[in-house]
Amino acid sequence: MNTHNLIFVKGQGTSKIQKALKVNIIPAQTPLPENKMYFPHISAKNAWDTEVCIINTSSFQTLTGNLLAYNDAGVQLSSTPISLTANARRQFTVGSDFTSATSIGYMILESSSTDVCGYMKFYIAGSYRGAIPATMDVNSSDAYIPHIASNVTWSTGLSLLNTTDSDKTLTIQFSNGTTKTVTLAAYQHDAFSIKSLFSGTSQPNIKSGVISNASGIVGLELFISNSGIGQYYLNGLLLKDDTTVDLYFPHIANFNTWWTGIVAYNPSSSTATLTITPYQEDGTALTVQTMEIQGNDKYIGNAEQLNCPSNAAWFHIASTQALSGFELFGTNNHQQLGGYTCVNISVTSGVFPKIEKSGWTGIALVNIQSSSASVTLNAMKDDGTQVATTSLSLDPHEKSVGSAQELFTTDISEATYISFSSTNPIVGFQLNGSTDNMLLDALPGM
Amino acid sequence: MKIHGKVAFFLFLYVIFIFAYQSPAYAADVSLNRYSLVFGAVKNGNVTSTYTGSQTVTIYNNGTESVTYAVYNNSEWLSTYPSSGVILPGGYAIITVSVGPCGYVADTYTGSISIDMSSGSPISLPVAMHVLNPEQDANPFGIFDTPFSGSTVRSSIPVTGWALDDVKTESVKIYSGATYIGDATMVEGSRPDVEALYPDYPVNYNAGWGYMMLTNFLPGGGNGTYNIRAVAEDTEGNQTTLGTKTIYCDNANSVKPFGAIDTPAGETFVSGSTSSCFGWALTPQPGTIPIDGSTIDVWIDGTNAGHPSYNKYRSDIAELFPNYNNSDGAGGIFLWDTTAYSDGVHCIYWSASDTGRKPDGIGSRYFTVSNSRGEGESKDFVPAAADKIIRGDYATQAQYRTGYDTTTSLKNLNPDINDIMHLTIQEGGRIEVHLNETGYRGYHQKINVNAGLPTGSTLDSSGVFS
Repeated sequence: MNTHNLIFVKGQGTSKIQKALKVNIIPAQTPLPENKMYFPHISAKNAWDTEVCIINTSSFQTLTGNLLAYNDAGVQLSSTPISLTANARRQFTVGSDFTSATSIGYMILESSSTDVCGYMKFYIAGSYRGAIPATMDVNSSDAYIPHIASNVTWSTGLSLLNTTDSDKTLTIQFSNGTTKTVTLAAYQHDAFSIKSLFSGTSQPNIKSGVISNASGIVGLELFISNSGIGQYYLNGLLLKDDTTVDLYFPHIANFNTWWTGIVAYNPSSSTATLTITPYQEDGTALTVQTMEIQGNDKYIGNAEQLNCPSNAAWFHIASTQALSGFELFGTNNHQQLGGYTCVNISVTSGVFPKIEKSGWTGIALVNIQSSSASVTLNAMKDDGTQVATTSLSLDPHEKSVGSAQELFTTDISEATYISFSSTNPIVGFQLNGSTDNMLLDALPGM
Repeated sequence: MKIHGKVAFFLFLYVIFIFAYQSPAYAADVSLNRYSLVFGAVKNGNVTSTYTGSQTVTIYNNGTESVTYAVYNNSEWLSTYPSSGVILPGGYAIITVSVGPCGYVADTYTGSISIDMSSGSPISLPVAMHVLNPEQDANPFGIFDTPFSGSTVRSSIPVTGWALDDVKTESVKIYSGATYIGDATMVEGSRPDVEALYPDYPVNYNAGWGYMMLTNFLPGGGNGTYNIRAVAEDTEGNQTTLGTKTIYCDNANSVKPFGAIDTPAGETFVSGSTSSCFGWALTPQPGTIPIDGSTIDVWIDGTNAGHPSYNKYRSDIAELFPNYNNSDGAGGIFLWDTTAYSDGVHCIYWSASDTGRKPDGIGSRYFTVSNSRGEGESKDFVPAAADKIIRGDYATQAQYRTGYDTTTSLKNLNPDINDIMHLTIQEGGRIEVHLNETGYRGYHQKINVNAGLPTGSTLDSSGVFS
């Protein structure tokens, strides 16, 4: 790269000041690194660490750019050049791969491509782990907090990043009618618990919230078991302004070992009528139910409370109002929790971004349409080369679930992630668990 | 078809014409644009047939008092001119340095130039001369950087690279297949990376070359596959093909305006209060460029200088490109006052848009303003002293925009933890940085030298760098 270092100097002698500018000249045929993918929360201190992953989802073009690390005040701490050939993947452990790791509050990948995805995994070794997709979407209107648990067993934290060059004052309207304001300076990142907004007092009556004036904001929420109660749940969601009238919940876990939590949040002021259609694994539709969610209210419960038949493998909610929602899987022994948003997760191609090397990886794929789908799965290495490929045929509404290796007929132990493409829109997710069954995280196909 | 006469030269916007500054060991208020010089020579029997021609060193008086200087050298093979002079505050003097290698056997000779000042310490400038036997003479070498092989291009594209030689690179010629396209221009300071990598090569500060190739002029109207070749030739006549790039030109599907600047021609000297810049611009159908020239902008050193008078009939353009809405009035002329600019190398370029589209650059030229103000004249900037501790100060928010549309919103530009702001642009791109403070002077940092801002750029009195 042809780089020119310029300085602008003012004053004389010891009172002299300067601004320094580094101008990188790239070839005219190289796209400018104008696309930003946000990792809006990074934690690598107080026993926490964060795993960051980037995948070039293009099968043709090299991705070039820089992974920029910032502190909470928005000061750039480092710039790591990224060059990923087609389908290549790169993973970082923030605590060991970055200097000033403890000061990093968020990261941004500036790259030449929009064919890129990634995730953040927050963890404390042996006790907590949660994964959240990185995002290229910056909120353009109100952002929803679809679930808040602030009580004796749970804490909910918010992590907010102001991507704009001006101060933002955000108003958080909680479901119990209270409001709080949060001010973020330009490019500032802040992470705080809900109870910290109320002088350290838990707020069991608050179930959800809406962040207004959230244009230019990227953020996430984390649910975590309170310390000292013997539970080690952790999961999180991006705070988005997205809603949809079709929510897909692609998995209902085994009732004996797991609980499946369902949240459907109606941010509108009108009552939403929900039509819930469960399906067997082979795609057979089961008894349809209806229910209502009042305006600005939500449904929260587990799959059993929804009266899903025991042979239900997944379900679809069609709503008269646009909803936000997600599902969680937790073990009944309070050790593991995973979940993902159920909003706008149907895709015709994507990746399951990590095959767990110190544990297990489960993959689920659901054909959400009434016609058969042909799905091609490729087991890929970090360098973008293919280890194995296989095809699945999914009948209408059929679900396929199994371990990553079970999906293929040849050994995929060298593979680090799986890419897929489908003739129909499908919904998929992956669960990664640790060998000791203490850590779990979930990510939708992205 | 005489292609090269139609195509505007293009070089990086961010090339450096060194208004230099000294290493900390130099006098506090006097600076140079170079900290060493290297010459090469190739013997031919008992005589020397070829050698590096004269090079120049510029002395700047950064202080508030006039400076008297005297130049000495310590070697018989080395000569300098002039031997002495006076530089007014803010002014400069150019010292020409040449070598006489005749009679010297093949070897490396070192010497130095000493510049004594009326105030401050003398400045010493090391000079090396490499005398080679004919069998030691090497071909020029370098890299053909862009465009990338396999790329699809339209309209004007920068053809760029670098070349060095043990004596001097005389030219880099661009070919499409066997068809000569034109000579690239060697631009001083455009490749600081090469300069740093090859410190012992003559005129290494002049390694970068560039050529703006208007692909519409290629055979077939610039539609199809072309093999673009760059050939460097040194003073001795040795040639090296620096590389060949296979590109696909797709002007049939181009939607951007295109054109060229015809004058000033490459490396032209201009002077006086009225200088003419001729060019032309067209846009693909169904677009039309307004005939009043209001969507064509002329930029000098990155600053908007106004609109040309447009809609002039050009028979050559009308015949070559008959089916465009502006075919019968593609020509334009821009008159400007060269005395408003300092003596030295400057860059002029045009951007154009048709109705409803963003403007894009269509051609550029480098030229030299020479109004004979010469030695002792005050320049419009004063290089900074670098021997003081300088602290970063970003209390005032800097902002920037890119491209030729000056109505787009400014974005904030923040420093990293090392107090450095970062921007990335493409070759031929334009940036505009608003420091939002006045009183700044701008420099280009190189090894041991703080040089002047790149040729073709300006830091105006309001603190806008473009």
